[in-house]
Amino acid sequence: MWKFDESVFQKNLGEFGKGSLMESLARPDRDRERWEVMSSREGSPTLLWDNASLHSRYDPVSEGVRWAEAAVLASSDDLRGYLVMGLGLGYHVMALLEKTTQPVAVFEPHPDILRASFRLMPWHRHAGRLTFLTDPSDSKRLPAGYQVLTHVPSEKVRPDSYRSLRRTYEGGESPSSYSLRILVVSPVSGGSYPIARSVQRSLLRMGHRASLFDGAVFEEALRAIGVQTRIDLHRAQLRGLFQGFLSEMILARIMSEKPDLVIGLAQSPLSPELLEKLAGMGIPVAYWFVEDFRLATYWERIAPLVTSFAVIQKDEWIPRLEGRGLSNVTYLPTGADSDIFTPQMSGDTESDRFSAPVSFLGAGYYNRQHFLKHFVDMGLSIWGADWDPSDPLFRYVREEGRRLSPEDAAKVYRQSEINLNLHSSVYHRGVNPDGDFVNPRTFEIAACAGFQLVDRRTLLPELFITGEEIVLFEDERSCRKLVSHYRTHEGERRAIALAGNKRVLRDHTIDCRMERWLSVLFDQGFAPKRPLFPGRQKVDDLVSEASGDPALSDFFDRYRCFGTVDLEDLERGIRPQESPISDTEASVLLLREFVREVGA
Amino acid sequence: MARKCLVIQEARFGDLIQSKPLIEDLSMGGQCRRVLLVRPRVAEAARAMNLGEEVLVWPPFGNPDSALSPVERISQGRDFVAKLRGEGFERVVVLNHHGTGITLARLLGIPHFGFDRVFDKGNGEIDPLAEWPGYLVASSRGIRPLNRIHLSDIWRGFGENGRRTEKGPDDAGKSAQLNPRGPIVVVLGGRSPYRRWDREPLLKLVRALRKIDGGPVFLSGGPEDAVLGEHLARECGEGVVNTAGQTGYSELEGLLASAGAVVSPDTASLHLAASLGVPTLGLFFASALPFETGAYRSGALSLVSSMECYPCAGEGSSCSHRTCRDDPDPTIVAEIVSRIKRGASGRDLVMQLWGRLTGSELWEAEWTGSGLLQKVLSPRLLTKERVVSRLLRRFSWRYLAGSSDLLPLETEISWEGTDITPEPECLPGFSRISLPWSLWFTRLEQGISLYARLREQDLRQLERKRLVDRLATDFPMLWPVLHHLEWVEGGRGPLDRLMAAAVPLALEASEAARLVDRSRGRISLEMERAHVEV
Repeated sequence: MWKFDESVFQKNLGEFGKGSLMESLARPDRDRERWEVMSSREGSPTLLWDNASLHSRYDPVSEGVRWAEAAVLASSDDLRGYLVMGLGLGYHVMALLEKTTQPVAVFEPHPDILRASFRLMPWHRHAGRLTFLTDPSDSKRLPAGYQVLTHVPSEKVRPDSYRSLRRTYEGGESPSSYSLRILVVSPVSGGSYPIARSVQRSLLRMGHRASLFDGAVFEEALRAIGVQTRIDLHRAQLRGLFQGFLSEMILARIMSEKPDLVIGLAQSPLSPELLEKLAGMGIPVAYWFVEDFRLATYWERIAPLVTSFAVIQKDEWIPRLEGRGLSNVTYLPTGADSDIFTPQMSGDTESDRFSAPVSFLGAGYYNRQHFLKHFVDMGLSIWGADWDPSDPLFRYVREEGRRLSPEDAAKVYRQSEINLNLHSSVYHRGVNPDGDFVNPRTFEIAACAGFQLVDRRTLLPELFITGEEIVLFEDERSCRKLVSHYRTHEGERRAIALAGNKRVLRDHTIDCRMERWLSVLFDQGFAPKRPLFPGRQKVDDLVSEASGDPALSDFFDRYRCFGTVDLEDLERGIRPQESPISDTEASVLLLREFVREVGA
Repeated sequence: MARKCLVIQEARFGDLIQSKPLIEDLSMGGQCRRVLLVRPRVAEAARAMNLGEEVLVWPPFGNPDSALSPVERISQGRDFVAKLRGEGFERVVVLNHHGTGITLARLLGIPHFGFDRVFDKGNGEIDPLAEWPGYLVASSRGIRPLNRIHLSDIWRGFGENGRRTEKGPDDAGKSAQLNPRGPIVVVLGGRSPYRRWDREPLLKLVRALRKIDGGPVFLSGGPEDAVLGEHLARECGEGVVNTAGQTGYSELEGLLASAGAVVSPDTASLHLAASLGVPTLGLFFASALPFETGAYRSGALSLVSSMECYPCAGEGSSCSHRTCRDDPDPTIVAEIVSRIKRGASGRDLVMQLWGRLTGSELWEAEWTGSGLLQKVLSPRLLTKERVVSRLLRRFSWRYLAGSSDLLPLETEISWEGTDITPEPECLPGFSRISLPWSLWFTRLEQGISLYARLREQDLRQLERKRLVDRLATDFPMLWPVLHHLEWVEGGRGPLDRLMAAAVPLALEASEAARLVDRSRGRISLEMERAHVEV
């Protein structure tokens, strides 16, 4: 009875394939490797996404009927239709259409799933009262009063889109409706410093007004404290005073900028005292703890004081935090800054300086010193700081052991044949067998389309497909074998590197992380001050909204070449020296002043 | 047809009341129709107070809490501008240093008084301000503790041509009306936690009022004070009525008008009570200053902190102890209030409370030809800074108002304090670090003369700046003048008025030097006369 049929697809396409839906349906499958169709025990097909079934593996038809019955039963009398979030293959929607005469709108953001369903289900029979939405903003076209129903298994495929739809239709808040004022607080130095910079850049790209408290300018001062005295007590006192000074400076910056949100990176000078003060002032703080919680234990004082505490470990870690009554914890792996870590080679003029047959980039941790000795005969070069000059391995350290800038690091990743990526450990002599989190370098090498061999981490398989997008080693021996193999198989190297690159760009950039984090924050109830003119607006939308008012729509029409505008764009477009200021222009200038007044 | 004037007042209720003298000036004997533009939160009060012939309210397009879409906001703002442009205003007066009012006034394209630009644009760029708006910014940013010109008088300077009329406002010059049978109103509120009393002293005050005065006590305040008011009324029992959070403007006005006396921190209720002619006692601690925002009526009393750190540099946020509110004892406050209700003058009170008024000073407002001034009634040390505050006031008044209707210098200085601080001792082995008073004022005299001469010369910008910096270094006592005329006005103020004010300042600095040298104890015959009267 149930079969995939091209003629059904064509009939569905004929009825529903218009506009953006047509574009979605016409594209080839994007994530073919992530899903498969299998037969349920009852014989009808079911869809597996990342090995999780979107429908019952036993009887999806009956399951759909039960779902629809429950939905109709729970409906209010005055509803004007149903908005079903998630299509899957569509059993539940088909059952709903049979049980109601109300209009039904179905949101399915993933084109692969939409196409599969269009081949299976005769949706064309319900044309007229059935509509399909692929973008959350499409829901603005729906009248109010639709009951929102969720197909829970589908939501896991693209949770952000579902959240966004819910907010758009139900009138909630979402990051995309705001241009938030965000202050990013960087540490003075260390591995999370470049992440702070990347976070700021990413937020700017997303249209937020992000600024950076740049702790690096105090690095010399902090170092100077260390050389003044050998008495530990004095050093600790001086560092405490310095920490207090930095806290006051951050507070002054916060009071001056009045950010909607403060983002702190691990090791940033946000002291517990300052966090308490900010909590008292009602200023939300999101903290990204990009450290190993087993080694850096200051999380215990920070986590309870912030609005959102994002971590890069989860299996052991999140239950532990939740066990302390914290509900603000989010798993947020690190990612790659796509501005810096790109496959683009045009700026790489010093190919000899930053390339090697086998490269390693990172600080000279204990396990690396032991591990890398096994590769000195394979063309190894090392870049990074904190390597022991008295160690024979130091002769393989390049650039005199200085810490490379992210831009130079990207050159190494791009230009080396094989990038070894060994997560640091101060306890093991090689690979940490219990290692869980994934370091930023994993994403950065992949973002550069570099080929890497990385030590096994428990959280890696959910981020990359092993063997297709990334290659793992277990120990020195397996790593040597892999190096030997891939040095002579350039085609395999390239294919894996490209697949890894594609994956990073899709799922693991810092932009992806920030989008996710802000969504989580909004879900947790974070609400910035309501902006008078929220972020950038599509000029078409403004013109359309003002359509009954010729003067106003003409005014917006002047900005059509911009595509989107914010209030500053509108203000800049007003030129009093060229013509008298119209009433509409005057209104924009006044609105701009109100925005300045409230700082939103 | 009457001329039409738009007055843009965007501040809070208390400031709205303090702009009343200016709004009355602008009537010009009924020839001018005054249209007041206010923010929604004070619209009801502005209308009820009959401030102007018409009250307009900013529509919600600029309100962040409004649910309007961007297009709706712009549309609504557009209609608002069109309406105002069509009103045929002859001029506009902007009272606040707010971008919104300033921008609107510019957009109307009519003669414009008061604030005509924003002083600092937030990017480090400074746009100098002149006249009374310049003084208001100078006094609020830097020389605030030295300012002795009341906000209402500064705003009166915003009138036509920026020069004030000589006529004093009717209300301010009159003494309060007595109503010994009226209740005492205790205002619980205050702009910030630093400017209001805590629960315990309030409880003590209300109990003492009930005991000493015997009449009913009404507690007043906003919705945020309702719980506190309930608590106090419950604790104090019969005769204490809580109205906090229960009064709109007209109820509040009715309550205050019926009161025998009002005791309040620096709040709108204090100003309203004073404008209604009710005897008032203002409580000024933290950053509130009676010179700036005391009740605007002759005879109004203010209890002011005498702590060395008063007034706070900011709103008191860096203060860990907030002890300026601990003195005087609430029982003393109750005594003062119950006596002013029965017509006791400030001077009587000082005599009756002699030795018991600790930690605070009692000040009394007095209307003069150069605005409302405060005179201290309780013993107060006269410091160089306090003398300078009066010299600066007189200089600024001459410079900005062009008026010479000032009290004798000796009188005005005596209103600032009586006892002179001793010269600093010179410890063995150390050179004297402070100048003697007489030399200090002589240097002020020299400094202002040199500055006036500098301004007369047509110097290049850099050269002038170098010389001004040099003056500021060599004549530190001149800094309040330089702060106003150079930092805020950008050295662009009118030279003729500078000369007309600088010459008397030089003379008065010299006179001040003579006065303080004449006696290390009491400074003047004026004070002796006052004591003889007592």
